[in-house]
Amino acid sequence: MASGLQLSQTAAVATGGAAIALDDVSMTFRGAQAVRALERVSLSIQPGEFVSLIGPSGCGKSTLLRLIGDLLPPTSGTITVNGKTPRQARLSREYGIVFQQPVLYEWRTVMQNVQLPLEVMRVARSEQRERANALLELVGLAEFAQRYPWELSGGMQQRVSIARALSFRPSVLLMDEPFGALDEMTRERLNRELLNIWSETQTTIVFVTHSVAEAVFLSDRIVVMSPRPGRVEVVLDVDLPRPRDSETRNAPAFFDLVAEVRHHLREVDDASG
Amino acid sequence: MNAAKRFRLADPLAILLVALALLAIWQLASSLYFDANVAPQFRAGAISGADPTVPAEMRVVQMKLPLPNLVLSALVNPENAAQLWLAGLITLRSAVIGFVVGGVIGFGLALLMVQSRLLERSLLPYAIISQMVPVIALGPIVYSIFKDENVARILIAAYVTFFPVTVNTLKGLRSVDPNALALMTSLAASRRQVYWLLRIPSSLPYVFQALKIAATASVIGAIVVELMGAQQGIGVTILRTQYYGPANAYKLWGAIVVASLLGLLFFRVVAIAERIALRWQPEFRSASA
Amino acid sequence: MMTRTIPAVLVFFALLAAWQLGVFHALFRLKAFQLPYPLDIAQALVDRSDVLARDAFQFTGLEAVAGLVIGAVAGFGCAVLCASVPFLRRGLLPIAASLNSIPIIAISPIAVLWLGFGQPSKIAVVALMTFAPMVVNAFKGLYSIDRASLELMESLAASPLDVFWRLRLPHSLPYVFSALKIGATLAMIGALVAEFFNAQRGLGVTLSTNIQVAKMPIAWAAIVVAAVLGLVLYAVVGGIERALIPWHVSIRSRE
Repeated sequence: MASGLQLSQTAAVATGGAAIALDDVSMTFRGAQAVRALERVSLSIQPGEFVSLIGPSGCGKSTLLRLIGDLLPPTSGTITVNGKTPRQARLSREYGIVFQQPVLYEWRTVMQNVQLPLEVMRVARSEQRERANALLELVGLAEFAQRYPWELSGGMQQRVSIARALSFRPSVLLMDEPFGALDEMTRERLNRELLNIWSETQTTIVFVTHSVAEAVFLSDRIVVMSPRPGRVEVVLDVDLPRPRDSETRNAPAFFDLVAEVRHHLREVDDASG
Repeated sequence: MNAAKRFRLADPLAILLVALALLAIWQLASSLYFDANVAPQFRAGAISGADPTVPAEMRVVQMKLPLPNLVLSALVNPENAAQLWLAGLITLRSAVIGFVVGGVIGFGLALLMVQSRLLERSLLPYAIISQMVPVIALGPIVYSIFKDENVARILIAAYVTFFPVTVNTLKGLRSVDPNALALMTSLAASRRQVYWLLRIPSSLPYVFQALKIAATASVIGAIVVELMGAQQGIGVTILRTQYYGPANAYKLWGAIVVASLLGLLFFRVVAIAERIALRWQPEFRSASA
Repeated sequence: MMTRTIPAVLVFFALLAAWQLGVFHALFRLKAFQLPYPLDIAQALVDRSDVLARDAFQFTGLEAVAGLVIGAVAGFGCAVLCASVPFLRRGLLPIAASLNSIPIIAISPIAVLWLGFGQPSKIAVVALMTFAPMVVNAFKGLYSIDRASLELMESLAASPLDVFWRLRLPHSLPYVFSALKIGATLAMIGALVAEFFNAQRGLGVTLSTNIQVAKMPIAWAAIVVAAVLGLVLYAVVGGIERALIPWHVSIRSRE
């Protein structure tokens, strides 16, 4: 039974709308001193797109991700996900989230961790197993299904975390520097794997990162943000051909794009003083 | 990662060797002490403890430092053994019942407190303070109020279990990784699901910490209650054999051994339960301690 | 922050009021001689204040503190041994740790046989009770030090004694204090219970004798004093801890 698991992005496409639309979104954190994290951000993300958010620390990219995911309420502006409010989208389980830390539950096996969202959604046991197995295959961890998280390396744990996020086939995947804690080689390998997974699932991905090379390698578009208060400085198209592989990283076009992004980043950094 | 699978079982051989060494020291010390303090003609009398011709100070020698082999025989001797072990079981039964009752109530109260800050602020300070206060002093009072030794034992055991379990469970329920909570939010999990799937499992290590302490404390509490005039139980046995004098020296020490074994046994059972409930823990990794 | 404590304080007074008004008496069908009223207890506290104070400080308190110190020192020494000798770590430590699970109170008659009716026997019982927690905790503090810290010492060609003084000992202090806090409570319990039958003076004696002659207000007064004494002891240990290890994270981050 596909209850609650239909790809509502098809609904969004049918209405000709973006998968994710941010309109004039601002965010101020109240506290001892008010912190203006985001300033009038507007962005439109198409279904199935891979969009990266990049910028110096404190530019609000993680905050933006959490706003989309209804983990924080915006101070002003509107956000729609598949034509719904973030809250409605969250309640109908339309997005999966991957953090920088794997956040696996240590008392559950790898398989049980992947099944967690399906348990919450009360999917039938047999189907839980089926899907979890399929996803573990997809991320290449099928033999580790019965292991516990601490038995796996950081990169492997992160792959489990991705499998978990995809277990209920959300139309949107929010990823907050998921490979930030890993070494370079593992990171590049997981980048390739993520692209494979993405091409199979056609999810809309919003990807926060610090790494310019990663953003260029993965994305269709890159959103460069300025430091606090975070604004969209520029949105760059990445027109490198797909499928991308390790050769792509050596292509001259790749280096040009990296240089361009770096240039914009330096600009925003200098502008902030 | 291979070391991960190695069982962190204590080294039984080393423990056995040290235990035997200690036993040997005991045997040696008690023999020397005996020979030094008891004149040869009184030795038989000093051992039985019943011979009135033996001078008093020689008669208590075996009460002070008995020969371990004689203590052991008192433990396995069919007349004594049944009595001793039965008394132990009576004490243990009350301790266990109180432990379970206190544990369940403590856990439940913590679940309530985690939902209501008001409740927490009203009651938690008492739970914390009571851990610093010699709670067991209430044992005699409880007994004098209820006059039923079983009830009194159970109440005290429940009391000493309840507070640490409440405090620790609360700590455990609260100390959840914020990202793990965010994950649950992103999945639109219901409150019940968050408790069942996240908070409670992650609180179990803390709960067991408290349970292990409470296991020992329950036994001690039950024994202390008995010291105030109960009829049955290992504490009563210790009291009586002490009063009846040197003839019961080995029984006294046998009772002490049984009381010690009760505490050890109960603790071990809880520790095993912990191992089972928390079998996902990487305790199997090579721990440094 | 003071407003935080208001609910607890209110509960305290509410319970006290209920007690004085006989709520618990009605609930459990008790007579006054079984459960004295708070005012009677307060009266007994005032009437016997000098005796109770002497009991508390000169006897029970002294026994608890002396026993705690002895047990802690002995326990620390044992921990040092176990941390230095691998065989003892594997063989002796588990045995010492198991003392935690043994009702040492059962030994108190024997202590009396050896050391007489007076204070030394109580001190001995307390020392035995506080020994085990110290061994377990001090050992953890002395032994389980992260690789990197030890390697730093190695790279400086530090002698074992240096490593002990400069690394193991300071590292173990938070654990030692943790054990001392546990020990403070145990010490009070030990001193009290050890006094029950086998002593001349002390809070435990006051408690048990007055229960036996059904003079409950005085018995309860003794308990109140014992509770306060326990809290004071705990607070003193905490104060020393804050003074000695202000750098530790548990002291730094005052919740």
